[in-house]
Amino acid sequence: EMEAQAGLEREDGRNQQQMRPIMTELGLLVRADGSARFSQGKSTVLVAVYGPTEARKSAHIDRAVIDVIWRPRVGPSGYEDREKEGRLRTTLEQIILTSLHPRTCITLVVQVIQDDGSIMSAGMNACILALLDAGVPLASIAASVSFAVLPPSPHHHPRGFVVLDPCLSESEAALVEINLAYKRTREGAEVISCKAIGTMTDDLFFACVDVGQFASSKIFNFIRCALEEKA
Amino acid sequence: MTTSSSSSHNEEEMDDNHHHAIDLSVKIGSFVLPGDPIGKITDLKVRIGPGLSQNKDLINAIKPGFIKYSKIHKFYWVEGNQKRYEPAVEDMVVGIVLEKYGDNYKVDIDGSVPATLSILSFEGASRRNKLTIPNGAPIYARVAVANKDFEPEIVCVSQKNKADGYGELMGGFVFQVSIGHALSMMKPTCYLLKALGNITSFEIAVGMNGRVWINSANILDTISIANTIMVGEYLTPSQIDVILSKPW
Repeated sequence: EMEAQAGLEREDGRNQQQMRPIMTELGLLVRADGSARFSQGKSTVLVAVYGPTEARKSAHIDRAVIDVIWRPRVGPSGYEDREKEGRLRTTLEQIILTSLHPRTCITLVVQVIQDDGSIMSAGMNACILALLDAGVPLASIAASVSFAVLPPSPHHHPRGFVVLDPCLSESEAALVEINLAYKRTREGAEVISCKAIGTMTDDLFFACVDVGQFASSKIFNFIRCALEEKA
Repeated sequence: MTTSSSSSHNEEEMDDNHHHAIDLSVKIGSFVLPGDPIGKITDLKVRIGPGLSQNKDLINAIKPGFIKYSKIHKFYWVEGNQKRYEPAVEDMVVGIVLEKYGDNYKVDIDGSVPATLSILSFEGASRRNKLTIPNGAPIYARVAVANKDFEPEIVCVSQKNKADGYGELMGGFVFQVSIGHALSMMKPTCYLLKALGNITSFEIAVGMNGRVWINSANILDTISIANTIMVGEYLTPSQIDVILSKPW
């Protein structure tokens, strides 16, 4: 389904498998141990990492506690932000080597600066960059990508099709939304987190997983360049 | 497996006949990210240092930075730059005394927990002859115990039980720089400190925890030196000369 309609264009002129330009700035917050501002197109997120610091009542004797706080652009945080916090935490727990810092707490504060779709992916990518900036020990690096399945429309796409890195208008019109996070391994990339909403076929889902693997390897290269330049 | 010498390595010179204890898959001095495979251990007499992790006989990087190697100590590590200090044994640090807790001082060394300093860990100290250090005073100490499971312990004596510059730092001013900058200031090739020394006289103590203590004749000098050091992290020698040529 993704190959067959490769010629179709989206509102902003991208093709199906094209991500928006990504940019990052590291170490911009003076008081945080690590920080990163990351944007995918207009979706921008700022993450601050504090730690490892002394944890009190929530301390585990054999590993670090990871605390994620997701702050929306406006208004107080609600249940959707709690869900994002939980997902980020469980994903990062697979990446951060928590056993190297027992009885400590690593806090990540994610502040949404601008939401133009795929904000969960932008948040996760920003978290990885901020953790690298802070020098928190990681088993490997990770990247996140999002997909949306757009409904058929008579003029543009008669069958409906899948797009990578949807912007806000594409997300809002989507029938299916998939968010995947990949960890970099020797063989390439391995899915470590997934959230899919909507009805889809197996084939569509696994096609997205494949495209996501390719896209995440681009993000891995970007992360390498960003950190190497900072050094 | 062996690497050719390059001018960017001022750590050790590499010759082509050198036999590495690890079957390297990356070049020494190259940039690595967490998860990058570094190599396979071939000789068990090797030390795997900060930033690297061992899984059976495979070595991976766990922090971003440049791979470094010391021929004399057969020591591999990743040198990256971070703000938070991780105490390691034999590091010299500048700490701030927080409080006295029985026979120990609690000292802030900018790690995840404060370190303990026994009141007997000074030259010539005994039960009858105890030194008192006020809260908030800066001290220069050596890390004696540091691992992930215990609180770090510091002492104010050298390995031969002499003072050797350790102890309370009188007067002066303490400020913070990044760990990488502190490390580069401790190297004998540091241009910034030499250039500053040519202009004015001052006392300095650099801690591997990123804390720097300076003391000089008057307040204006102290502030100027502190500012120069703080901005001097990324400056080239010619840029440093430009800054220092302005009237003091």
